[in-house]
Amino acid sequence: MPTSKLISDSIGWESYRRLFVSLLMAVVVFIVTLSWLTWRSLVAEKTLALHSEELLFPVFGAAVLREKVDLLVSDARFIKVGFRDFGTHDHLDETMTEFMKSRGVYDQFRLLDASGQEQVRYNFREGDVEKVPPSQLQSKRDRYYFQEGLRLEHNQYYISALDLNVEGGVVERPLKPVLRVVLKAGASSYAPVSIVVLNYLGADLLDALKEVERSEEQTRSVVVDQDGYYVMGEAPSQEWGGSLPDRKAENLRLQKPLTWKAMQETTLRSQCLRNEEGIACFTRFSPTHLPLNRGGDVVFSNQQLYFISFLDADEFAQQVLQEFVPLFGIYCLFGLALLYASWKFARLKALKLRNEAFLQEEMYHKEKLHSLGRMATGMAHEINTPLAHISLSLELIRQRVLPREKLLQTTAKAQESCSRVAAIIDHVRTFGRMDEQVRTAFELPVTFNNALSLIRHRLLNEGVSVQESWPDGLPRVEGNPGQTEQVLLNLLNNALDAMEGESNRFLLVAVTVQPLTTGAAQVEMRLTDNGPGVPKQQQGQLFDPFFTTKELGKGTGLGLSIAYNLMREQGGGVAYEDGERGATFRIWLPASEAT
Amino acid sequence: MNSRQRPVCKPILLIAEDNDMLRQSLADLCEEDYQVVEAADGKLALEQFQIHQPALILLDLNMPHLSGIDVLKTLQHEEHRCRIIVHSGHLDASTEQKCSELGAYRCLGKPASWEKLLGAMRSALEQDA
Repeated sequence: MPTSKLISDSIGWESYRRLFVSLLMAVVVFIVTLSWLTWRSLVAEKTLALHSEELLFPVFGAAVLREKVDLLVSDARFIKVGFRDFGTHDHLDETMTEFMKSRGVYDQFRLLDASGQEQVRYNFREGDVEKVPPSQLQSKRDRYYFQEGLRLEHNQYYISALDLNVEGGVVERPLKPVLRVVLKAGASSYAPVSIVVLNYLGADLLDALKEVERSEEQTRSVVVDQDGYYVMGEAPSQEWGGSLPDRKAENLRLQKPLTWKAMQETTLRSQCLRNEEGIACFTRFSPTHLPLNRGGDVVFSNQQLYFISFLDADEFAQQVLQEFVPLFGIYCLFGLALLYASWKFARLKALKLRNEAFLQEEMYHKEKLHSLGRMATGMAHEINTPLAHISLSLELIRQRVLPREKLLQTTAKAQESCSRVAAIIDHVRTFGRMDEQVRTAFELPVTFNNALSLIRHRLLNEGVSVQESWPDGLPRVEGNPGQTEQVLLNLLNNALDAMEGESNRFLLVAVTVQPLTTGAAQVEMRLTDNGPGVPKQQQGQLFDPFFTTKELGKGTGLGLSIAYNLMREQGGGVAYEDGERGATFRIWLPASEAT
Repeated sequence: MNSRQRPVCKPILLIAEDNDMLRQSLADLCEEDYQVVEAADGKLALEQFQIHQPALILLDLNMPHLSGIDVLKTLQHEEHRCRIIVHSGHLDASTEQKCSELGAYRCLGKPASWEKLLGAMRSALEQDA
């Protein structure tokens, strides 16, 4: 059966493919889910780790600034207290030279009178202090620090914003960030009211901050002012955009608008944020928050500084990726192993299925042969007897000189036997066509007798009587006579098998016509034997493939399942009916409407 | 029953065959050499056996009422010197063996040629003699 083998091939392959694809999907979903969870947990872990690391700069940076401001205030107090004793110019020269030299962080010291005119100025240049000649002294009346100084009370100090030094209205080059400490001193030998201005070199603060920043490896640190301009940038070229028009674009507000906005909106002094621009941690430092250790009244500029550490989204992803890739590799290896296993599994399943399909085909084939064998047995007897008669009749004619009457009689009978053989052969041809999907109207009694003739030898041998009851005017039935005959032959043989060993064996055949609700009618035939019947618990399995009660090798267990299918194909059916004794099988076919 | 009795000393042959036409032909062919007794089923065959005590039986297996096998079984228990030749349309190895065990002299499948039938019948009686 080459065609059915192809079918079983495709059954195996198809199911194998389907199973493998579903396993593949499951593995892929599993790997993807696992990867996604891992990625998420890595991101969370990394964010947490970064937060603790990133906060270092904002916290320590702010501490450094505070320390420096403390020092400035302390120095200012020293000057203020000492100013009363400075007395003469020479004394001032000496004191300030020593002071500026020892500190090394003050760029200028100047003394202004109430009109803003410089009375004296010391410049700190390359480790030495030089006193500016009186001819070079300028009026600083318009500078903010003079104005701020004028407003100070006697016990107050002013600390300016950290900004670039301006000389003669121009930003001094090389850039020199300074912070000014201003205080109002009492009367001196120069003026009744003196404003003292001390320029602190911002480089000192920035160097200290750079020192802190260097300890950070993974993130980048900057300091920006309240307008977003860099006071300390990642590169010096970024810095001081507020004072240098050519660097206006170097502004955090423009470069990281989301982070900037979040920083402005929060009321917290210190916070970590994560957004599309990356991760940022910052501390806002405004000197108004600065508690002074030693008392005194310090007036600060309104400058605010943000100490920020950040990691760009790309860099962050890069870092997470570095940890993710090896894990993903392991998952993929694991997935491949799973795929290999599922491929093996699917193949095994497919082979099993295919074997089952082959087995089923083999059994089906066997059942066909079985059925054919039973038919051949019936045929042999039916044909051989008339053949023997023909043969012996010819022998008689050959041997004897028969009177004419006897001769005619002998040949007529031989001819009758020939017709008998021809009828049987013709019937077998019908039976052979049982696989064809022919649907026709046929006489059920004829088909039944045909089937009966094939088991006549068994009926005779086993002494089984058959009682038939047919209604008058039985309509023809719709279906395939060959298939119906196969079913009948199967049922009759089963009945004879079941009755083996019974003393009184008989078969009851009752045919009725049942009207249907649809208006049509069906013809039903009940075949009852007086064997032991079918036990209740087996009745449900009767029509299942491979179910058999016969001993091993006697039946394939397919007869009834095939009978079931054959009857269904014809639009009829077969069922088992539980009776008082024996087994009753009911088959039915639609009655033909063309009578 | 259509039995032909002649005064000559021919051996009695019982033909047990349910097919009337075949039985008639066999009887026609055998009547020269044998005194032929006919039976159309197993039951009648046993009756004729009791009446005529034939020397030879040509026995069909598939017969109504009592099959050839049943006849063999019955005769096995009887005291007789009769030879039985089984003549059946459906002979397989197991049936043949069963028949031999039940005392059949020879088994011939239908259709057997006249020569074979005659040969078997003659040899059965020759051995007997």
